[in-house]
Amino acid sequence: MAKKHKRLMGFIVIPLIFAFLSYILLFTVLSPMMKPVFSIFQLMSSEKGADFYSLPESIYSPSSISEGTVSLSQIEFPVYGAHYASIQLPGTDEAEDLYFGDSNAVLKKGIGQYMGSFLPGYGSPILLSGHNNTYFHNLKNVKEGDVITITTSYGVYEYKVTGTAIKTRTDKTAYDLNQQKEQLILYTCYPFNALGLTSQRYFVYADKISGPEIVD
Amino acid sequence: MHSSTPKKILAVVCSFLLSLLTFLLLVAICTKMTFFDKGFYLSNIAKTHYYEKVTSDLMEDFTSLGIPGGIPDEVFKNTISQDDVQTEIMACIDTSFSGKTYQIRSNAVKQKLYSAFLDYAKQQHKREATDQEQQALQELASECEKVYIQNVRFPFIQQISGAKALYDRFFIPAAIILGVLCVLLGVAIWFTQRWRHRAIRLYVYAGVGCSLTGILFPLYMLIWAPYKQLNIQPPALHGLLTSMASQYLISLLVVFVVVGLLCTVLAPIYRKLKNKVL
Repeated sequence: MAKKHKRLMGFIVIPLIFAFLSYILLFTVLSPMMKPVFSIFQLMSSEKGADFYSLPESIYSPSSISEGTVSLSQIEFPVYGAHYASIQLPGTDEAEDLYFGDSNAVLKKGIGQYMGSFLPGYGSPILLSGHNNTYFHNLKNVKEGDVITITTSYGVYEYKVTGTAIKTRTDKTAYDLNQQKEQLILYTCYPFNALGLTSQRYFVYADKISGPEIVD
Repeated sequence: MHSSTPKKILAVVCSFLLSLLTFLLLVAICTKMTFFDKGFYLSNIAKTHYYEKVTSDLMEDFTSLGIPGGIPDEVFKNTISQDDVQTEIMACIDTSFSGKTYQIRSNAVKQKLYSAFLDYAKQQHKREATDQEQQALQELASECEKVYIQNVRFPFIQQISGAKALYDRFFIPAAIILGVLCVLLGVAIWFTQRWRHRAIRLYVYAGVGCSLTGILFPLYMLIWAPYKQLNIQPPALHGLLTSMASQYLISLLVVFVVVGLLCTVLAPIYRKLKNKVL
């Protein structure tokens, strides 16, 4: 009986050893090719897996603080595509959603912020874009002296319009993201009712007049 | 040391080599019948509704361009249909598998869209488009062309067809060599064993070993599916490639499970022969 049991185990253990040795041998032979494949795989994959359809959750909850300071640790930094604030243009009844990021998907839903610019309160420029036939269709009516309001989860910011300009889309002098003041720059395609992709952009510039300053 | 011990070790080594070579031969055959077969691509394309998804993604991307360009969705939907997309993709696969390079007919699509834009502009403004408007619409049509290429192109198809040509060149000689080696090892095991039931036992070791080698890796990949975490764009292509990877792994699994099951057929033969000896 013990011998029978031993034979039966042999039919399991020996093939398992064969399988193990096969994997060792294949790994040894194929490892020079496997390393670059693994590197590429790691570069191209994400932990949670590809997710093309779900959007980041909104982190927006309107604040009423319009002065003083707010600590950096109290601010939840938005991820790309997240709705994090609202923006009210002069002459409009409702505020529009403001998103972090300016992809096509974002601009379909609201106004997008260029990721290379700063959040309100940082004391640095903020660059926003929107489509001229949807959320920024009223931008043409904004004039010098008007006030634009951005409400975030950590403060309410007001910006006074200082000027407008029409520039080509490749004009590097249209704005300066390195300047040391908090300037709000809004832009959209120009002319406003044009068909097709035009080469001109309509810019509105506004300087901060109120809102809490972000401190470390 | 008993004089039969080196013989036993040699027999076990032959059994291991038989297991390994059978595994390699079956993987080669499975790969030829899947990744290097046009039918495999077409069946997965049908299974994942690839054409429908590509057309839908394409329209979505066109709409994103249409909004800033002032062109409504209907203009795009009336210009490019799912049949057009299907024809393009099938032509790409057919041409690539016959060893040639396929050029996507994006310029024809661009001209078609541009004409549609001009018609729409004329309809809206009740006049012909001005030079500036024509330039802006040309710009939009060019961007749409890039989007079309991005959605319709079948990445890696040229590399796959190149690999297929190489594989086809070496597959038959390699399969023959592996097959002959397997037969030789089988014969060596049979004639070096005094008792036939021992030879059968060694064949079972080889078969079950080959089966386990071939089952473990595909099973792991199917359960954890790390390939589904690849950020491949567009989404339709991601769905297609993961479906193809899953189907390939399932094919391997089925083949090696069958090999394992066939070995159980040898068990009664082994017992019968052993009883004869006893």
